[in-house]
Amino acid sequence: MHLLNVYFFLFSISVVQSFSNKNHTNNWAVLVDTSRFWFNYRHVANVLSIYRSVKRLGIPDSQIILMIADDMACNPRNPRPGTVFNNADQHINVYGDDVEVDYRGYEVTVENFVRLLTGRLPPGTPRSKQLLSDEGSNVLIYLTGHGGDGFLKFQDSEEITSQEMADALEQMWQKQRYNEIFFMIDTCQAASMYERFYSPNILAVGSSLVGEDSLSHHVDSSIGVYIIDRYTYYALEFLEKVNPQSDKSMGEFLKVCPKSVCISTVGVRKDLFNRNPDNVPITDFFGSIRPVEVLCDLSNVTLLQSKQLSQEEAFKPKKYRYIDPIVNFNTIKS
Amino acid sequence: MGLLTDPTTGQGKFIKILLKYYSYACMLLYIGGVIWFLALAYPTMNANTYFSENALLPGLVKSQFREDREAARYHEELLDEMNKYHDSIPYSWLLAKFNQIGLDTYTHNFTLTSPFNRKDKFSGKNVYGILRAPRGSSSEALVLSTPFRPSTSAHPPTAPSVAIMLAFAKFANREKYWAKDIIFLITEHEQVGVQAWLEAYYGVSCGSENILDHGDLRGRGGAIQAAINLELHSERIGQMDIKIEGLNGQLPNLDLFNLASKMCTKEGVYQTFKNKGPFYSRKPSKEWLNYFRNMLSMMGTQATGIPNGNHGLFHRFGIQALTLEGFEQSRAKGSNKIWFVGTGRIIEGIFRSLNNLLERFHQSFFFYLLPSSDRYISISIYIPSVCLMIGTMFIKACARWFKLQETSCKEMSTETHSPPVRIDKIITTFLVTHFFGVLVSNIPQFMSRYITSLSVYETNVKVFYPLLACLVQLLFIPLFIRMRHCRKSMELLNILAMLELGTVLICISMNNFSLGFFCAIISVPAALLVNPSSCRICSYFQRFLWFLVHPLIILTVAVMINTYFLFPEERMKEIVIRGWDATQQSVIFSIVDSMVYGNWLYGVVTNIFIPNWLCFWIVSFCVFKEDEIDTEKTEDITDKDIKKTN
Amino acid sequence: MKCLIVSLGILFICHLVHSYEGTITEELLIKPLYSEQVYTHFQFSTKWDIDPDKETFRHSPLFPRPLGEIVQRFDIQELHVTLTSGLWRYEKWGYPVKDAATGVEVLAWFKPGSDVDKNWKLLANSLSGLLCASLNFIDNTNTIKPEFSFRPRGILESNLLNNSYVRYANLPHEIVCTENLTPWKKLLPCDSRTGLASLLNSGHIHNTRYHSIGLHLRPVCRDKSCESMSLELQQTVSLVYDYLILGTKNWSLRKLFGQGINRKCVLVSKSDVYVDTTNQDIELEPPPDETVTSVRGGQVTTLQKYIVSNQFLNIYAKFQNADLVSLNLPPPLHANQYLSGYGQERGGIVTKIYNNHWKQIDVVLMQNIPWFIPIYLHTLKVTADGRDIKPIQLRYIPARQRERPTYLEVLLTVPARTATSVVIDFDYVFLKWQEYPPDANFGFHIGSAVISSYLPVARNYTAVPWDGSLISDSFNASRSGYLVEVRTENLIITLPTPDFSMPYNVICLACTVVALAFGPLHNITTRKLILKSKRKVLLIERIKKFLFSLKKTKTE
Repeated sequence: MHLLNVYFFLFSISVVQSFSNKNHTNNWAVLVDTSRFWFNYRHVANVLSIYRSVKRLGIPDSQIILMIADDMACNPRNPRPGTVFNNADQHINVYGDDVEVDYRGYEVTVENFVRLLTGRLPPGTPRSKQLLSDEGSNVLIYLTGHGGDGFLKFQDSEEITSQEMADALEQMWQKQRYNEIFFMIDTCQAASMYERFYSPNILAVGSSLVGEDSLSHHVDSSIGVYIIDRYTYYALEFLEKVNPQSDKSMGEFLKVCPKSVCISTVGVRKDLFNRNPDNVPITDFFGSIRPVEVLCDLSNVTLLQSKQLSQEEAFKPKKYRYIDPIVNFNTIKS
Repeated sequence: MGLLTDPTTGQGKFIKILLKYYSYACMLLYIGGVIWFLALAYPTMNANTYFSENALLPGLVKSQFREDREAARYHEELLDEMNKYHDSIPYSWLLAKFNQIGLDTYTHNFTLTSPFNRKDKFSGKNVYGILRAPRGSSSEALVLSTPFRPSTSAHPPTAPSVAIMLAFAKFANREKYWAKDIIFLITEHEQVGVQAWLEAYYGVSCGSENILDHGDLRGRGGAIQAAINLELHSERIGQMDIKIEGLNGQLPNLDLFNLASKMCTKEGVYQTFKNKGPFYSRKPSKEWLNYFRNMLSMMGTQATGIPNGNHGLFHRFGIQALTLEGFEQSRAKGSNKIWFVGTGRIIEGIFRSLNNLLERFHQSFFFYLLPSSDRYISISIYIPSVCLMIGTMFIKACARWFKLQETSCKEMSTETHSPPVRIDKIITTFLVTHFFGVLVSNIPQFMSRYITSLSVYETNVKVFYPLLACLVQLLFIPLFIRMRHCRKSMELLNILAMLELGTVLICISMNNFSLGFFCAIISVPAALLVNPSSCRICSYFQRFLWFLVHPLIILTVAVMINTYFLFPEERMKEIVIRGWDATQQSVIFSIVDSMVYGNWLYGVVTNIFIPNWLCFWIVSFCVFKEDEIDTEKTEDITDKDIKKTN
Repeated sequence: MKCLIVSLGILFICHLVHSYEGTITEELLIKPLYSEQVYTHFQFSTKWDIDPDKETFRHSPLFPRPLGEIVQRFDIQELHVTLTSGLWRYEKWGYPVKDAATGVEVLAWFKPGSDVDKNWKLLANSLSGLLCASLNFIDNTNTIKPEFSFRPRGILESNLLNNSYVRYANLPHEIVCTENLTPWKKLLPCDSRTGLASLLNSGHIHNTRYHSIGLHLRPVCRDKSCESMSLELQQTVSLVYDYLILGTKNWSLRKLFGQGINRKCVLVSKSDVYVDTTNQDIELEPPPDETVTSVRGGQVTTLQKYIVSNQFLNIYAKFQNADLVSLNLPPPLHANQYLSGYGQERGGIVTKIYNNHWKQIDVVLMQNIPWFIPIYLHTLKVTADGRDIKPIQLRYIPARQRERPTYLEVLLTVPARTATSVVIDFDYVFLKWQEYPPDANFGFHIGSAVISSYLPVARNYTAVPWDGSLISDSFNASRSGYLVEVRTENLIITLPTPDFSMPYNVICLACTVVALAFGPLHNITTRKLILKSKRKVLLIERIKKFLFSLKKTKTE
C-alpha cells in the first residue's frame, strides 16, 4: 500500500430564483410499458420517447426506472436492429445508444410495479431497480399499454385497477416518497386510471376520457406495425423543442394534443395539485436541473493524515497452478 | 332430483312419461337433428370470418417481392431438367439451386415397404433447404412445401410451385427480418414423401411398424409452427383454391385460412374454397342451397379422413397447414390472372404475417365448417345437430332399461317364472363379437403376409376377398346363439349395443364431425327400429333393414352412386363392374392408409362398427313367444303391490 | 483557470496510471469464415496485480469497481457471464474463441468456506442490476453443480476440486440488446470513447447473425513463477456478420462498425488488430504492420497485425478472386439438439453428436433440464450407427418439482466418423395456473446442452489457451489437446396450455355439478321418508288447500 495524494475540488450550490418550491430537490422518473408482442411496437416507442426526452433534459439514468415488457429493438423481426423509431421516416431513433432498461420482459408485473412505487422490494434488489425517492423528489410516472375502464393490462395476463394505483400513490405519500407527482397515461380510456386518486400533489393527464379509445398515429409499412400513438407522438414533438433552460410551463404541455389531432380528448386532473400548472416550469418534472455556480476563488484544504498501512505480512511463497481443462476419463471413480 | 336414488323403488312421473312416449321423442329428436343440420347453412346460423389473432397484422407491410424474372427462369430450367428425369425428382439440380441461393441444403432418403408384399420396396428422396433466420437461434421454423410431380404423374403438374418457391427463397435470404427459420421442402411421391419427412423430423413412426422407413434428417429448424403447401399448376393463376381438410378430419386453425384468404383477395386473384367462390344472391333459398352444397362438399372430404393435399399430414404434429392450389382457368368469368409476381407476393404476405406471430395459433377455432370462404360455423353451432340424433340412442336405451326393470318388478309381484337373464352370456356374446371385429381388421395383412401362395394374385384378390368371405361368414353368427329367443337377454344386448353406438358416434363426432354425422344419420334410424319383436314379419323387416346398414353395403352403395355421377354415359353393367372394382380399391386404400399414415377409419370401422353391427344383427333375430309378459302397457304400480312385496 | 483544471486533471490521470499495477490490453481478431460470413472477436483484458483473497476492493483505480465489490462481497473466485443472441453454427464456422449458448449463461466458483447458495442468489441479483438483464430469475430451480463439464480456468492452490462450490445456470429466453451493452461498456477503462471500444456501435453490432458479450473474471499467475496471484477481467464481444446483410463481400471497419478507430486509448498498453488471412485471397488496405504465422496443432494460420496508434485506422479488405470457392472441412466435433415425438403426452430430447474425426473422441455431455420436464433415466439410450453404446460414467440428480432441475452428465466415447444420438424420454405435465408466463402459447425453453471435449486437433480452432490471456497467446500455442465446449440449440416445447379465458366458466360448471350431486345426498341423509297414500286429488280440493295455506301465512 502506498500513499495517495488527495485532490479536492469544491463546488457550492446556490438556489436559483426560479426555484419557487423550496421542497423540490431532485427528480425521478418511472416509465412503464406494459405490452408485450411485436404488434405492440408502438407502446415501446411511446415509453422510449418519454425516456429520451427525460434523459435529454437532465435526469440521469440512476434516477430513471424504465420498465419495458418486450424487446423491440433487438427483436429478430425488426428490420432495423438496435433501433426503435417514432416515425415511419425514421426521424428519431428513440432507443439510442445509451439506454438502461431496469425491468424488462417477464419482470414487468403488477406486483413489481407496486413494490417499486411503495419501496417494498426484497433484500438484495440492486440499486438500479429501486425507486430511492425522498420527500423532495418530483416523480414523473408514465404508463402506456392497453387499458380499459378502471384498469390497465399488464402483458395480457393481469391487470392493475385504478384503486390499486391510487392506493400505491397514497402509500408513497404516507412514506414521504414524493414531493409532487406528474402522472401521464397513454392508453384507451386513460382518464379512468386517475379518477380514484386521493393523495395530494398529484397532477394527472390521460390521453383519452372514459369511453374513448386512444388511437395510434400511423403505420410504418416497411416494418409492418403501428409505430407510435398519437398522444405521445405530439407530446414528443413538443418536448423535442424543450431544452434544459427552457421556460415552457406545464400548462402548455397539458394542452399538447387537441382533439383535432388526437381524435380522443386529453383528460387532465388538477384538483389534487396545489400549484397552477401554468406557473410550473416543465423542467420541474421532465428535467433535473440543479443550478451550479462555480466559485472563482480557491480555498485552502488541509491534507488528511494519511494512514500508515500495516507492514506487509511475511511473504509466504505459495505455489499456484492451472487445473487440467478436462477430466481424465481413465481416473474417474463412480 | 332422483340422481342418486334407487331406480327400482318407484317410477317417477318423468320416467312414466318417458316410457309412454319415448319412441315419439326419439323420432322428433332425430328429425330435429336433421332440421338443425339443414339450418346450419342459413346465413343467420353462421357468421362472417374474422381475425382472432391480433398479432398477425395481415397485409400491413408493404410487399417487396420482385423476383418474378428469376421465377420464370427457374421454371424454364426445371422443365428442361424434368425432360431428363422422366419419373423421378431432379434432385441434383434442386440441390444446386438451393446451394446457390445460400441455404443449408439437405437430402432425405426414405423407403416404403408394401404392406401386402414385404419384398416390394419403393424408395424416394426429398430435398429441402433451410433458410436460417438472420438473427434467430433456430428454435422455431415455418415450412413452405410443394410436391414434386414428374411429367408421368397422373396429377396436375407443380413445376411452377417449385419455381416460385426457389424465387421466394432467393428473395427471403436477402431480408433480415425473419424471426423463424424457413424450411423449403420439395417432396416426392405425394403424401408418402411428406409423411416420411415429418416422421424423420420428429423421430416417430405413425403407422404400422416397418412399413415406412423414414430415414434420418441432418438439418432441422426447431419447432415448426405453420406450413404452407403449394400446388400451382401454371405460371398464370386465375383461381386460387385453398384446401384445408387433413388426416382424420383434422383442420388447421381458422386464422390461417383467413390469412391465406385475405392475402389472395388482396392480390386480386379469384379465391375459392371447394372450387366455389363468394356467392351473392338476393334469393335466400339460392344462398342457402349454395352454402349447403359447399358444406356437404367439405363434409364429404372430411368424412373419409383422407387429406386432400400434403398439408393434411402436418396437423397431427400440431403444425397448422393448408394448401394453395392454383389453376389457370377460373370459374369466374373475366377474373384477374396473376403472374409469378402476384403469387410471390401472396406467399410473402402470408409468411410476413406468420413471422409476426410470437405464440402458436391458439385464438381462433380448430373445429369448424366452412359454407363459403368468408363464413364459418363453429363447433358450438353444429354439434347440437348430431347430439340430438345420437341422444335418441341414449333415450331409447334408458327407456328400454326402465321397462326391463318394470318387467322384472312385475314378474316378482306376480311370481311368474321366466328364464333368468344370463348376464355372463350376454357379456360373452358382446366380447366375442368384438373379438371377431379385431380378427376381421387383421385378416388382410395376415393373409397376404403369411400365406405366400397367394402372392401370385393381385392385391385386390388376395386382400379383399378373404375379408369379404369373413364378413359373410359373420352373418351367420346369430344362428349359433341359442339365447336369441330369450327376450330379456336380447333386450339387454340391445341396450348395450345402443349405448355403445351412441358413445362411439359422439366420440367420433368430436374428432371428425362429418364422419360422425354421416354415420349417425344412416345408422340411428335403423338402430331405433331394431327391437326384439314378437311378429315374424317385423323381424324379417328389421333384418333386411339392418342388413342394408352394414358398413360394406353402405360403402358399396356410396361408391356406386359416385361412379354413376362420374361416368354418366356408361351402361349400367359397366357402371356396376367399375363400382365393384372401386369398392375393392377403396377398402384396400383405407387399409394401406391406416398402415402408412395411421388413418383410423379402417380401424374404427372393423373394430367397433362391425361388432356393434353384429350385436344389433343378433338382436334382430330375436323372435319371442307371445305369452311372455307384455309390458307395452304401462301400469301404475299400486301401493298394494309394494305392500305385498314388503 | 481552465488551464489549471485541465493540467491538474492530466496529472491526476498520469498518477493513476503509474500507481496502477497491472496491464490493460485490447485486441480485435477478424476472421473471414468460409461460408459468406466474417467473424470478429474483441477482447479487453484488465489484469490487476493484487491478491484477490486479501484485497478489499475499496480503491480500484482502473479495475471496474462494481465488479470488485461483487468479488469481495460474495466470495467469488471465478466468474463467467455471457449474454448471447443468435446461434453459433459449428458446422460452417468452426470454433469461436469463447463458446456461449443462446441466452444468458452464468458460471461461478466460490471460495471454499462461503455460504454458496445465499451468495449465488445475491450474485444473480447484483448482476441483474449491473448488466440490466433479468438475471434475477436465476435461482435453485435452474441452477446445477456440474462435476465434469466445467473446470476452473484460473489458478488454484491445491489440486482438489470440490464441485459443491461451483454453480451454473442458463436462461435461454433472455435477449441481448443495447441496454446490456451500455453498462458493459461502462466497465471498460476507456469506456467507449477511444480505442477499440469505440467500434462497438449498437446499431451495427446488433445487425449480426451471432452476437455475444461476455465477462470473465479469474485469478491468474502474476508471472512465470506463479507464486502470486493476479486478478484478470476479460470482456469479450463476438460477432458474426453476414455478407448478404452487409451487402458486399468487401468488408471494412467502417462497414462493420460504422466507423474506424480514431485514437488509441491512453490507458492500454497493447492495442492490436489481427486479420486472419489463411487461405483467403484478400488485399488489405492500409498494409499491415506485421505478418504473424501461427502453427498450432499442425494447422498453419497466417494473420496480419495492425497496431493501433493515435492515427485514424480503417481497415478495408478486398476479395481478389471472387470465383475462388474454398472448401470447408467441418470441425471434428459438433452437435445438435431437438425434440422427438408428437402430441402432448410424451416426447424425447435427442442430442446428436457428430464426430468427423478419424479417431474416437471422449466427450462429456451435460444437460440442465427444467423441472417441468420430468425425464426418465431408464429410457436413456446412446446409439451410433445402430449400435448401442454404454456410457463410461453417469451423473444424475433428478428434478424435484418447483425446487431443482434435472442434472445429467454423461461421459461417453463417440466412435469415429459417426453421429451418436443420446435420447431420453419425458412426459408432458400440467403446471399450476400462475406458473405460465404471459406468452404461454409460445412455449417453454429448454437450455442448450454442453458437450465438452479435449480435441486432438486444432482445426478451425481459435480459443486462447487457459494459461494465456491474450489472443496473441494463442499463436503457436500447441498443446496436447484443445478444449472445446460445444453448445447446441435451445429447444422450445409446448406444454399443455389451458385456455386462460375459461376460469369463470369452469368454476361455474364445477360448482353446478357439485351442487347437483350435493342436493340429493343431503336429501337422502337428512330427510325422513314417509309413505303417503296416494289418491286422486280433485281440483276443487287443491284450490281449497291453496287458499287455506295463503290465509295461514297472512295471519302469521
